[in-house]
Amino acid sequence: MNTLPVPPANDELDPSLAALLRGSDPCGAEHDSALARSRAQTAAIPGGDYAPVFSQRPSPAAPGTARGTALARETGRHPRSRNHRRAVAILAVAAAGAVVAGVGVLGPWGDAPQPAAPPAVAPTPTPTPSESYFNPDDNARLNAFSEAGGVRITGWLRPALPSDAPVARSTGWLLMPSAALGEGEALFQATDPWLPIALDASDAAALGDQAGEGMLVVVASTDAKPSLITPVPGPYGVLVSDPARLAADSVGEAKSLKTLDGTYLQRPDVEYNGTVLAQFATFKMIYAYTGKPSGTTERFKAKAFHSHTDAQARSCIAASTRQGVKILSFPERSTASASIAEFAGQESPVAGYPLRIMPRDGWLGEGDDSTFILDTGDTPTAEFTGFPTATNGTCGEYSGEVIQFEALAK
Amino acid sequence: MEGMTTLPRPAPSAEERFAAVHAACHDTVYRYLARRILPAHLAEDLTGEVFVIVWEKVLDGAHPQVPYVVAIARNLLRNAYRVSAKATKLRTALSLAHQRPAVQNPLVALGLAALKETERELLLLTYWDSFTSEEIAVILGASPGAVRVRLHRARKSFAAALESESTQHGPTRKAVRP
Repeated sequence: MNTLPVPPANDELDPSLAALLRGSDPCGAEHDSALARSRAQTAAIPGGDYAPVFSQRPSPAAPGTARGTALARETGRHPRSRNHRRAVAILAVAAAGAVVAGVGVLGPWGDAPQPAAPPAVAPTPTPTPSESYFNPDDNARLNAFSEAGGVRITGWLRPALPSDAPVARSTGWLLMPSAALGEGEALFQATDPWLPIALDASDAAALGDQAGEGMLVVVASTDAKPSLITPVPGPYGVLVSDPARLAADSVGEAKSLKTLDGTYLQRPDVEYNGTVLAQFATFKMIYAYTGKPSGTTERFKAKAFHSHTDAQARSCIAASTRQGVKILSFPERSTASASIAEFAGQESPVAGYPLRIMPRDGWLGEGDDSTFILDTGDTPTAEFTGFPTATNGTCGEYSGEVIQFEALAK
Repeated sequence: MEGMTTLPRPAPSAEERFAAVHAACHDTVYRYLARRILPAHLAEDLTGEVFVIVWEKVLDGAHPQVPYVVAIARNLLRNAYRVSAKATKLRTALSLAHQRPAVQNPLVALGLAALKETERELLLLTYWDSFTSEEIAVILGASPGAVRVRLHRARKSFAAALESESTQHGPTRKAVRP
């Protein structure tokens, strides 16, 4: 058993710092009316048929309805009890999965449309360090950025396509925000999730070769509106993640967030949650196939999935089934990312993380309903169908027959 | 808290026991949530959910104390972060900063941002919510001794982070790690 060190006798924070901390409490007098309202709404016990307020959001089935009250009488439980919450949670997870699947099919990595025209690329100036450039590794500049209402946006960046609305093609580049740090709420109110972004010439040039299918970026901006997002000038306006660097290090220590000209942030996880971005970097698959496999499918019941990502940022999945270990091969250009089932803040090496596999294109995406997301963390066991290949493969410490994955079994 | 043991009848009804727990816990729970999630109405929603669970506990014969009820609120808060983040790891972590009420003092904000999540939580439970180490131990499901040791480290980290921020113009400024 470990012995905890004994803290010294003088274990108090400096009084001035303690006062500073207490003085920053965001729950001030302005919360008094909401607190009183909450107290009244949660305390009411109407004549023994108590039905506590579950949510004050507008709801067609508010507590206290005749049906709910009757149920409460019969069971002695509130109608929105644990089982109900569990059902709601399952529906919510299913809905989230459907959204992600939709993005998988309709996202910018689809194979048909091509960029309307190469985004305008002027002669590329070498980024010149400037005293005025925003730099997240510099506290003074970071403070100035925050005071100027700066917002850091994480999202998918892609060139505009002919199918995009003309207004969206105004800059040649579009960004779909996934999350924003700072005052970025308005960005999520736009009707079109893809917002024009004005990249400068050097950023556009650097992205030109790698953003054709969309890529995850972090944008720093003090002028971010749904109509136009303008990154701050300088090399730190648009940042990307380096999957190879992430795969070779642990999540907690990896500095995989970098500028487009290759300069790594010194403390990405402090100011940018960069480790999370990095964990979301997409890895290529070791085993992949092209075209639609021939032959007949077999059904497999996985007792466990084993994910592996090697130092070259290539991933694979092994499944333990009743028929033995199977190494899964996925349609070409499928990618793996860290599993959504893991909560942020973990510091395990990416190499051992459960992975989520998403198809990018190929016959699985051609309008059939077998498009899948295989999340080995969220779905540790699953039935799936695939085409045996009679060839062996290796995934980390597991070896077995390679199976061309078809779909999760319905 | 002592008042809860002096109800007028020796065997109070579930409603009365709930009312006692509610009176003892509500304001603490609401403030705990309001300090940690935006928009403000979510704090009210979550408070309502907390007392649904408290009601179930009371029906089962329990008499939850404040730290136990705050622990329920803490679990619901974490779930809320995840749900609103669409259950993705990326959005979950980024939304932590997005959903939390802003700390107005930029020095304190930077100091807190430089801490590990566990250190930040301990400091805020102590200095915002005014819980004792014993109460925090119940909330976090840890031993009081471990809480005291971690709190000691958190204080040191916070003080060091503030010192680092205040000397930001120094030529050999040390980068702060969470």
